[in-house]
Amino acid sequence: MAELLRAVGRINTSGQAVTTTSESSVAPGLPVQVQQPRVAGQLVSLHWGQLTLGTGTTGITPRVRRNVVSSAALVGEANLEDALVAAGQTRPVFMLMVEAVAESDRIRHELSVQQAAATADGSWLQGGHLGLAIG
Amino acid sequence: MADIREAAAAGQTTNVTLTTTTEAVIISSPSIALPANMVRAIILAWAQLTTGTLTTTVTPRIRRGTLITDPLVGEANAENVKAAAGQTEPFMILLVEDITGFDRVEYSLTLQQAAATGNGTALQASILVLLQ
Repeated sequence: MAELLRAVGRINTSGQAVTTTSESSVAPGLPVQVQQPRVAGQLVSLHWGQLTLGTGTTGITPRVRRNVVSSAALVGEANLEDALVAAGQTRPVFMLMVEAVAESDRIRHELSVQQAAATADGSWLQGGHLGLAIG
Repeated sequence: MADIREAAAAGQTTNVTLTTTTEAVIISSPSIALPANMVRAIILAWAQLTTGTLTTTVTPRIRRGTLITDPLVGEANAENVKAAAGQTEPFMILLVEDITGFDRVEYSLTLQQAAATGNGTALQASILVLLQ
């Protein structure tokens, strides 16, 4: 039996450049914690956003990273997705990540995107994040 | 306003093979005890799939259970692939159903390629189930 302990949400419509082929953090989530009396649980992170691809982009790698103190470990895998649309066009980006966490962890999941083969910057138009603590 | 009374989630990075045009379970939720006789289930699932050779469409499904023979939730609609076969693209599905009279429930995301002559590979996947 597990309950939904906490839910946080955030939206960002300010826009952000995704520099050619560099990994760019585009959607930092809010921290979520599994709290006492639970000693362990799961952090579920739902990320969504809209990305206009830079010139020459053939694919993108979306990633979710975990910020605990100063570390930024990868959550799940970093898989290259096909661009799906022509460079200069806008496509959605979506990730759903689940991670087992301990009670003491105060975790923020952050979405990053990285273009492949791009010769120009992409543009992250808007994004939303939903973080859930389950325990 | 309805509270979320139960929540369960699972994620995996183990590759799952989709054999040509056969439906395959990609990921299943944990088994959840129902908190009442009648509940509303909200199911959200996501996966990244590298499609097999000649794949033209992929049908994502949610099934109540862990087998491809278990009951379908919602519809089974083929989605055109948006990239060439052999490339990786995401799939997402969000469904809601009201269920009555179960002791426990679990849900699975399945994927099925069409026209494929090669196997596909689901690289990673997650599923979230919320019960109201």
